[in-house]
Amino acid sequence: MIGQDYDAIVVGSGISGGWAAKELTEAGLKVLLLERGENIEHITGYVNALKAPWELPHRNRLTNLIREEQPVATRDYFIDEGNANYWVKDKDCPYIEKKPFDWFRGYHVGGRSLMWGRQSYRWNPFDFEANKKEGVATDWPIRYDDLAPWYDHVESFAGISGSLEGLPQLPDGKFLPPMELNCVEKDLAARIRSHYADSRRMIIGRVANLTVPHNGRNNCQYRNKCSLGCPFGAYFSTQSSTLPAAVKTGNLTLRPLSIVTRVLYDKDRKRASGVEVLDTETRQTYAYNARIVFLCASTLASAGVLMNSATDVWPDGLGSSSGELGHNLMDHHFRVGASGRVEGFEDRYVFGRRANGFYIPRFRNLFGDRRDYLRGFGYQGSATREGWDRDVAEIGIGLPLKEALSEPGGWKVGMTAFGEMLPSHENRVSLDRSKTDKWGMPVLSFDCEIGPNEMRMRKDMANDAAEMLEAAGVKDVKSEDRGYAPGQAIHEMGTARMGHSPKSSVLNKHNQVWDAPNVFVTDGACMASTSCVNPSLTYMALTARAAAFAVEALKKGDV
Amino acid sequence: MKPENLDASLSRREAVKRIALLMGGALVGSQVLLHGQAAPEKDLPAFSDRDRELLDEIGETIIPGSKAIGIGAFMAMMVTDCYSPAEHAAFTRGMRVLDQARGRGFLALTPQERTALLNEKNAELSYHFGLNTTPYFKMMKQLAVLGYFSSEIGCTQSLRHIEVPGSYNGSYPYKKGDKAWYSS
Repeated sequence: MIGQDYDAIVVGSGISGGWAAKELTEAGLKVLLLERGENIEHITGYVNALKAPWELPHRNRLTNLIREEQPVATRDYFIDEGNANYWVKDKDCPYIEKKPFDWFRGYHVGGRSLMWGRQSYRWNPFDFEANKKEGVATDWPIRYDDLAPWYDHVESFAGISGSLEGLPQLPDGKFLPPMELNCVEKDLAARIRSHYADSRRMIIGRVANLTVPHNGRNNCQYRNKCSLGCPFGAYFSTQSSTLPAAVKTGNLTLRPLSIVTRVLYDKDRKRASGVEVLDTETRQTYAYNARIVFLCASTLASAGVLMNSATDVWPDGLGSSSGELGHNLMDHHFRVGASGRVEGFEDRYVFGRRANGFYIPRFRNLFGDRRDYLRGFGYQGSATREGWDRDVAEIGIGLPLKEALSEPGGWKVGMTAFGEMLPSHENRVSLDRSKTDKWGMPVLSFDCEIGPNEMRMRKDMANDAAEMLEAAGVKDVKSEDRGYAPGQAIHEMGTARMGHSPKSSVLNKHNQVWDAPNVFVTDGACMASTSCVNPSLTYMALTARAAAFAVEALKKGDV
Repeated sequence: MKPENLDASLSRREAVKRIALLMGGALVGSQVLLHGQAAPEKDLPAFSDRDRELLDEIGETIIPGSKAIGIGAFMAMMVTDCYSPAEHAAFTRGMRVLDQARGRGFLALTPQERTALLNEKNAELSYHFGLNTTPYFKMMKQLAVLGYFSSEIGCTQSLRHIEVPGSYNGSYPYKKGDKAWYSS
């Protein structure tokens, strides 16, 4: 069946797709925003967001039913009774793990922008130069200066709270007032700063939670229930931020329940003509035409759509002529860090639940420091007073137990490192056409693992954490590497990297597919390396930049 | 899907417990901790009214006041809905053990005898390191603590809870005897 025509089609409504829809509609384009999952309305769709703890029957613990339907999502700690409906029903959408890969998905309007960790950091200039300097993979076709104005642009709209630090490795941005380190963290921060002569710093996390009202949205209410959806609109999500902006233009059509099966490719024009959509309710397919297509379906799903497109011209799909489509799959490797007990501060507590923690920016392999591995890592953590769920085995049971648990315990601190993972051609995702999902679509197959560089880095990630905590006076410090499989950080990147040449990259410097310049891929798929900072802010900036380029190119008739 | 043997599952549980600590959280009573991957056991018996009555008294002994919030029904629901078949079976066996304790059964014991008995069971928990299954008394204790402190009474009377704090103070005065927050 033939659908309507649009100026632009945006595939996926998560962080990147929401930004593409906003920027393109605000430029006057008629945009069709396609989302494979259901709609979740802002505020009214957040069914558990305002429930008291006792109103969740299993008190937010996972049930066997959730485990059965969501066998992948329940591998990790972030899914609970309250937010389980935002994580994909893995059972319907299986994938193949040649090597372990945790693929945590959110299939609904807003995608993972509803459940994301909201930590928002700029890349630094060295991040964009490292591949070239070290001869790793391929050079980024852009530099920090190309992206800096777009970081300004997205930060100003999204609302990122943070402190100005003047650190070259973690550029400052257009921040709202920072959240506050708590009393213990402030003490640790001062000790670390002094011990390392200001070469290491513990700062408050830069987070997409509003500390003051911003663009008609309310400020954070310190409930720490972000992953349930915020009825105050106090953190950045598609629903709270980009979608209302796009809707306001009158130029947006949102179509949920629409799986994009492939980009429709016109061999004669060497351009995409639109996309094919499978309606998950009617099971009918529809073709929608547009002058440009933005693929923002997520790193892995966007790669999957490309692999399933234009296969009559390129058997391995649109963008595969480089031999790099699906390759160079990356994540941040983590689950290594340290924790310990903090003495004192018994007369101090906190008021409010801060959905944020501290951040220790990268300090390795910078400013003359040289290690036996490339790149670096940053830490995220927090200091908290133990609550009623702590172990007090020695107290026994009965009234003494009840009374002990009614008061807070001591302070403790923990932090975990997020490390950069090098791109490697060997790490890849491919389409396995022998197996299909509930919708008859071929499934993805993962073959990805970390290498010797990451393994060497992990030693520092553990040791440095313990050393810093000890230097800061923390007691009973334990460092630990709990093992890691790709995907676990939910920072998957690569698979359709940007580059200088169609021979070695899938996308050019404006995120255009070399083989179809009116197709833009601006989600994590485009990344040529990972830095060690959380990636979403960079997807926002890259998307806004590519959208502005696309609008100009359309005007000039270049695409 | 990734095959997971028992060892992998145990290490995952341990990993999750530790990551919670590293991230500054805590999750006693989390299903991630409680959920094992042992072979399923068939025909798990449903909890009877008498079972819930027994669990009410066990819960009340662990956390006084929890009978009033319906701790027996809460434990039965959690075990049925959230526990693995192996844990469910171990929990049921433990319930039977307590039902026959001291020759007279838990319900026939005086409050002092009940407390003494469960303190013995609690002390035994420290000898359970390395076991493949969660000891039944650990499950009972975790569920009593979880059920009570996350109930409306527990949250608002034994603890403090403000649904919408509206602001954050990272150096809030505290004196001994002040209640803990439900979560912070």
